[in-house]
Amino acid sequence: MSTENDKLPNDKNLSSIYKETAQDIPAAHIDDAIIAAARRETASRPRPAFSPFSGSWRMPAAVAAVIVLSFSLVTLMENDVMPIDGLAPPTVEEAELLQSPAFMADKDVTREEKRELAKAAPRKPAMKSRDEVASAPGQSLLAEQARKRVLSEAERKKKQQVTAAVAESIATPQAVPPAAPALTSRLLTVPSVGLIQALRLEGDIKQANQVADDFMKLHFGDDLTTLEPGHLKLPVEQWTAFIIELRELDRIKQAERLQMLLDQL
Amino acid sequence: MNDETLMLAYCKGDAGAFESLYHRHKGGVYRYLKRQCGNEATAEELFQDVWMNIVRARERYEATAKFTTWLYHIAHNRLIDHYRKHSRLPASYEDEASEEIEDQCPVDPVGEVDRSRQANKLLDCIGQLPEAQRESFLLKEESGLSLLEIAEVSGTGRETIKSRLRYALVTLRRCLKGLL
Repeated sequence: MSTENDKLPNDKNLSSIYKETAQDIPAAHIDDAIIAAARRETASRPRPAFSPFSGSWRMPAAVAAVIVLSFSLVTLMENDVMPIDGLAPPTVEEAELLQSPAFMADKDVTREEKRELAKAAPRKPAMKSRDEVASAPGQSLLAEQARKRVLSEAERKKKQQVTAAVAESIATPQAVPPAAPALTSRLLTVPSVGLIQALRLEGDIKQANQVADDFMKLHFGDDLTTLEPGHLKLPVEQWTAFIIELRELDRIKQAERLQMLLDQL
Repeated sequence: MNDETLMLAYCKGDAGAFESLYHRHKGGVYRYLKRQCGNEATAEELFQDVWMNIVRARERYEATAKFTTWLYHIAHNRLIDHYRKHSRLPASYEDEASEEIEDQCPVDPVGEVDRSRQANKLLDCIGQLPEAQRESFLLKEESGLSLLEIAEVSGTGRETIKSRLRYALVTLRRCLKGLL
């Protein structure tokens, strides 16, 4: 706010006379030189040098690089190929999550699978608490991914082991592979000619008959009288092997009926 | 468009804004320098330096500062550099006048006398003022700055500027009185 004390000493008459001298201006060539220099400066340095992202290609390039790297990393993680003949050891983070209380409480995973997964995961010296696991950002997603990956590998390995065991039992009936309890239980749930043969050779006739019944139910249903040649979807060799097993189990009528159908093929 | 807006536009690369600013202020700055140093060639050199400093220092300009204050501050500093370079910083910038001045001799109103003759005489009288008083008078007439702004440009106190201006006006009136 201007006060009397801030007023400039003035003389209007002197100022008026002084204004008569205002025609004194710089020469035109000086004007041209200064304006040209000013234009050159803006043309050569349109932006401050210290502004790293102003209007240049650097920002879009940086964003593109981050996106590409992130996508590549995720793709690599998802396509990570593990050896067929063995379960790849879980990473340290996966192991920790698989052993965590949150994972063990997951109802979607069977107890047997959890036990096998926990066995596959190396023990950690110290485990995090449930709260720590639950509160850690991104941990649940990571745990879900780890669980899926390890379960799919476990499933693949089990199938491979079952296939190998059945094939071996067919080839060498006397040598039933010493399967782990989990594997035996899985084998018993899959009725097959090889399993019937294996059980019969072990002397477990009752169990062999049970598996033979399951095998027939699986392929024909309960009523053999309505059976037609078109129902025999398996290879002839398998049916032949099954007929042999039926005969060995003294199920002669069923064996003959099947043989008759097989002959019509 | 005011000076500050034009200067900001130039900072963003608008050379036309600089041209407008230049044409708006070139006369005042030029006359300030020419009448302070008393030599046209030197004044032209200083004048170009001042405007090139504006161009180069544009990134440091902040809209909070009045453009004319900044412009004349640069011009004042360039002038002081010039004095120091020639080892002759005028004593009037350091010694404050202490004598009582008589401020009771107003210039007679101009009517029948030729104005251009008065103007030429006034320029002669201005040339005879001590540099510090002359600068205060020229800044007041050419820049349109306030008392506080002139004090800021000159790097001195408000009362000092008032004192210098009073002395300058009294001296100029005395100088012109003989003519009138």
